[in-house]
Amino acid sequence: MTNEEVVILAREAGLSIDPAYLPGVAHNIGVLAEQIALLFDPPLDPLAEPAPAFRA
Amino acid sequence: MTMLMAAGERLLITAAARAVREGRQSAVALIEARLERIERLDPVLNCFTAVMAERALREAAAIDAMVAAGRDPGPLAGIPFGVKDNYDVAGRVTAAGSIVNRSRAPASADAILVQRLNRAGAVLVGTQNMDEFAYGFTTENAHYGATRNPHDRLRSAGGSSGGSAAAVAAGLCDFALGTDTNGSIRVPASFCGLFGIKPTFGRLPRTGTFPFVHDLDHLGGFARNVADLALVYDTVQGYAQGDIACRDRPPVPVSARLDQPFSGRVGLMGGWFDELADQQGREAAAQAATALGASEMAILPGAARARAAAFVLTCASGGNLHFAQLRERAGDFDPATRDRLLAGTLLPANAVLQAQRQRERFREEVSELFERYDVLVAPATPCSAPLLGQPTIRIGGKDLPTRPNIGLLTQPLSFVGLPIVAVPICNGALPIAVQIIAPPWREDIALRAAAELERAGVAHSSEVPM
Repeated sequence: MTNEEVVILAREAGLSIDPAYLPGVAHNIGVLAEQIALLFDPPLDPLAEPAPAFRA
Repeated sequence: MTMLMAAGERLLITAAARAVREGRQSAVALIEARLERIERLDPVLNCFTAVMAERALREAAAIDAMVAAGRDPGPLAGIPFGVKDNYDVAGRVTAAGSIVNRSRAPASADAILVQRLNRAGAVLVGTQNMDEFAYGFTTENAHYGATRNPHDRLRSAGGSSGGSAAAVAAGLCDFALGTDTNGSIRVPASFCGLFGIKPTFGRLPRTGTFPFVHDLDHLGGFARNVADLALVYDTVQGYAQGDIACRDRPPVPVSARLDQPFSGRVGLMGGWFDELADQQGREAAAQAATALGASEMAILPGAARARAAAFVLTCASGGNLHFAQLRERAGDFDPATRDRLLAGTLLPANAVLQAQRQRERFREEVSELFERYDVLVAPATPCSAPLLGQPTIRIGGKDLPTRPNIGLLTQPLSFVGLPIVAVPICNGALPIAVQIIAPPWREDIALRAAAELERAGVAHSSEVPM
């Protein structure tokens, strides 16, 4: 992700990020993207849910 | 009354407290000895963010007065302890390793766990250094400095509860409380060669502590042997209001059962937990598993996804928690924390929801494994303590950035809230710990297995010459 793309994302989120921080933030988004990719392979069962369901 | 324990001399907590309760040891003298040791060693180790000498001496004097009056001050009488900087201490701002929190009001009361320890006679000597807002594994804090490992002062004490672990390892206090979101008790226990416990999620009330990730935060502690750890754990157990995640379950005291031989079914964790540990870590886990009678390798195929989910949720939740401050005063954050939290605020909802949905799947995977095993054994860290500032660690034949990867082996397990006891194995120049992992609510099994390893001479904390 480029610094410019981080600025656009941040604006959407209501943040104004100091330009000095942009490379660090972009780097961390890259690290997160690698982890996120793992979460989608293989696909989850549609019934997998995060609800705090009680079990007997 | 005589002073039996010189500064730094190490007795079992139970023995030291008994000496105080029976009037053979002055609590004031015990605390003075620890304060002298803190004064001498902490300028180098940097374990404490605040030393509360006045409060500690006042409480110790009250204990001596109780003994003189024929009253029992409790099972932890006069025992000095510390707490991580994210525990409330009455009259003090809970900084949680930040300067951002300095504008908050001072705490009006001690954290619930501190109150329980005080009622049992333990004496708080101070608050202890941590990674800012608990977001790290090395306790290299831009505001309060790095905590140094007592075994090698050029190395990390681990984090984020690094000040607490280093203080116990160096004999600056007899036990300490920390927090563990992704491994922040188990990692410093490994690097400092201590026993540590991270109970089941929801076991201990977090009331009066500063949060990091609400659905991953656990409280727990460090000690130099299993009996001490179990005694502290027994003392702090029990439901309390103020923490919505705390389950209203009766305490399950363990101390009296530590002597029972352990005979459960044991699995040595393979796959992720084997491939991402170095030779020392793998050997330590194998040694512990063998001593407990393990005969099989246990696999959790979803460990990588569980770790990824914990990684993503931590970043997103931390960013959400600190969003207002990140918007107003991002420059006041530790740079190592700031950039990750800012990234967390920008994560797509799709990724966060997917991470949350992974939890149920992994929980079922873990539950199936516990149908075959009573405890699982895995290395706690990929390696022993790295140097402070060391940029990379070598894992699985690759050089990976140090800070985010020290928790590779702890994160998948806390993701589903399992109770875990970290057990130090001294099989190298530096200590390393293994994780004894039990089914939910079975801390008793993990502690009994740890006691078995201690009796067998496999696990023990190592003395730090100072």
